[in-house]
Amino acid sequence: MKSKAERASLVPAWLRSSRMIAAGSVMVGIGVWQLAYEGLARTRYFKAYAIHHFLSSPWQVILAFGELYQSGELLRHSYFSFLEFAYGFLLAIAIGIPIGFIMATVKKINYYLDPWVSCLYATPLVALAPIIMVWFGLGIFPNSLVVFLGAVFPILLNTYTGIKSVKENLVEVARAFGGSPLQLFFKVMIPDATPAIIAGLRLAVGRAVISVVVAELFGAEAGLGFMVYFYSQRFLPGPVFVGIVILVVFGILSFLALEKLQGWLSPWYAYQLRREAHGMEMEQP
Amino acid sequence: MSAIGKIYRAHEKKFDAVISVVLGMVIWEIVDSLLINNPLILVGPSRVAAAFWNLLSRGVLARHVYATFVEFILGYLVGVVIGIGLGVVMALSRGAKNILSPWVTIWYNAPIILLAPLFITALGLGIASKIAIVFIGAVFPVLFNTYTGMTTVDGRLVEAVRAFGGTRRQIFFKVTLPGALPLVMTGLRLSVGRALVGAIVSEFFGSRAGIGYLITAASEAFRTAEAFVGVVLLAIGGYATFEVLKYTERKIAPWYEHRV
Amino acid sequence: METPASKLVVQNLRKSFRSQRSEGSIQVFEGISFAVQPSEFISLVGPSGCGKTTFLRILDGLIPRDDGDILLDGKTVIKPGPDKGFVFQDSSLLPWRTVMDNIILGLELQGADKRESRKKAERYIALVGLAGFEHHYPHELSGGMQQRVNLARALIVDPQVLLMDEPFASLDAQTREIMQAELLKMWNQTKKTVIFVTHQIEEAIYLSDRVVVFSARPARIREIVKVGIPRPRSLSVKRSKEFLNLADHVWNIIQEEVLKSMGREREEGAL
Repeated sequence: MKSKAERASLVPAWLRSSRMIAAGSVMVGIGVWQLAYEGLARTRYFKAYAIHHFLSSPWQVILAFGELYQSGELLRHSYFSFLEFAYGFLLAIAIGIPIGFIMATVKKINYYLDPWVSCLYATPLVALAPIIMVWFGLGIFPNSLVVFLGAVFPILLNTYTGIKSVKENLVEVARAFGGSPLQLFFKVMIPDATPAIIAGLRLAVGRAVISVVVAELFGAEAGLGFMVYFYSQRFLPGPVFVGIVILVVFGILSFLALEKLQGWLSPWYAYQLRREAHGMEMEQP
Repeated sequence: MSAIGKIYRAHEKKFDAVISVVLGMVIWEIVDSLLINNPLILVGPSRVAAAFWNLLSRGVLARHVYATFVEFILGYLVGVVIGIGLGVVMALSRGAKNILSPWVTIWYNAPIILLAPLFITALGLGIASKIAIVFIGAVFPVLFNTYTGMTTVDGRLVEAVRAFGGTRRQIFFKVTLPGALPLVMTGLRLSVGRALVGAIVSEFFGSRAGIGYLITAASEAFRTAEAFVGVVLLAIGGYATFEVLKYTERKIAPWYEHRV
Repeated sequence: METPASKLVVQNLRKSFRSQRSEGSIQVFEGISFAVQPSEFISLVGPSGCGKTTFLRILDGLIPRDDGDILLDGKTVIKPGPDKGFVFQDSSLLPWRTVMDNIILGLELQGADKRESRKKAERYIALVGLAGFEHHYPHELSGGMQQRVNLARALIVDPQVLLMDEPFASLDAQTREIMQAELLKMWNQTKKTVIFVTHQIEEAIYLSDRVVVFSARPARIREIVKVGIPRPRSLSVKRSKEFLNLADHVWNIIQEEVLKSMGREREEGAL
């Protein structure tokens, strides 16, 4: 027997799947954008408000993409941005996870570091970018530093929360069977805290991407942020959108990669815990 | 054990926090004034305090704080209202959810800051361009969390209300909405961060006032102490908002931390 | 012959679910019929997974039935409502409401005046022994206390029949016994008709006038066991010969059914 919905609809099932609707929605949205732009271009407001200085059509974005790609500009900028992202992010992992762990296990250190960490976590640290440029000049290193500052606190705090909320009974089981502190760490604490740590990494990716961009907008000779700023100052919105599209794709891809990593490292981490995990992801300025 | 020792043990965490902050300030000050003594490289607490006082007495500071505050508040409020509204619509209608969700995913993950130069070209150096950026930054976390909150309400509670003859309307108002509240609050908190970054960074690009403007203008003129005043104000503002929202959350939904 | 009109009549009830694994459907139960007298206390027992809980939800109207009829005071049951009070297994109390506001939920949903409801609730709070806890939140209560709230919430709407779905399953043994004794006391005061689902044979016999024993899936009624132990029953009744014999009898039926369904599962697994 077929359900009511199946009988009532004339649209084939595969077209009604939510993924198809999502794809369709994006297509239609892009089409509407193109048509709206064309329509707008025919009105007198277009010239009067110099709309082509800040708005672009999907087709122009594609053209801009082609040009930037052929000139090699796109690759160079992406490469620089990626390097800054990678250096800053890896440094944030290398420092954030150990400090988070130490804070969760040594009470005294937690008491001393907590006021600084909570305060820095709540500060929009990209605001330091101009000052860092004054200190260190232009280049990959200062920009990576801005990325590091953006990414380190979500990682640190989620590691802290993850280790803090390791279930007491699991620790007891390991101790009851004669586990050494080292075994306790590797066999209980790290696995149990992994989902929280990865949630922290996911938050950190978003902040790191923003940090890369802001740092480059300020002071750089290359990078996607630089590219966007350069062309927006010349009233060419096409390349600006190219930059945005690339960073959106990068953001979503790394998000998915971390989700995969999560499924791979902790397959037991049940789906229903998503809500809790979400509550844990307390992103701050 | 001495009396002081007893008091210290009873409030160890608070005492340690104070000691840590004071110690940090003192070390910072010593390194600044005795070891480096170059206001271009490092500015200690005393220099920042002096710059703060100077800016305040000239009336400059109030103007900048006011500008950022207005941008932030207006963009944030509009973002919250529209975010909650769209989140509710998406939770109630599968069609709306299917159509909107790819766009929400894209925008939620997009570094919206990149749009700042375009918004400034389009809307000018004034307040409108910043409000728009703050709005886009604030709207998506609220939307996303409202949606998640409403769609993950415990089915057992819905059943309980149904068992007592609750209508769909009653289920919505008495279970779904209050059940979603804690996550909506989380969304509000997440949005503060994004909105604040949006306001500051768009001020970096082109503005005539605001804390972001103060920071860039000061660092370009190598008045590092003044730039630090801006950063410290942001830290205080961010921390205060965070704590206020956390407090409100505990007041509004005291049960949430203890849910099964 | 003059018999009192039945409170609740179940006729030929049938329910199947669509199978998730294969095409077709799984028969949950079929041909269930029985009648409950006013103020009678009936328990439903059976092997786990036999559909007792589904059956109770259908009685309430929470889940639609495929076929058959349910008559409460001669009227067909179509949907949930205040004529039936449902007590859930886990407390399912609204976590953002205090004890008081949870208890008046049913009245509130019917559009009753809040102040009057609260006044009325005080009586029920006293009845279930929660005086002094009116303004506590569910998370501040123990499991046993949460179930007291759950019970009061069902009683306050003054239902014609009380449907209880393993209400004491998550309580520890001692609390469970206390709650059983208190439930009997309350039942004695209110004289409600009760349908009580449990997987504990001893609990079923101790509480009930009659115990309905379900077979394995697809469930039918294997036997309706009459409990002739006089009331009021003290907890020591549980060690009497009569009680133990009845328990043995029910245990044997269920054991038989469990073995049957295990055999069938093995066959299905082999396929």
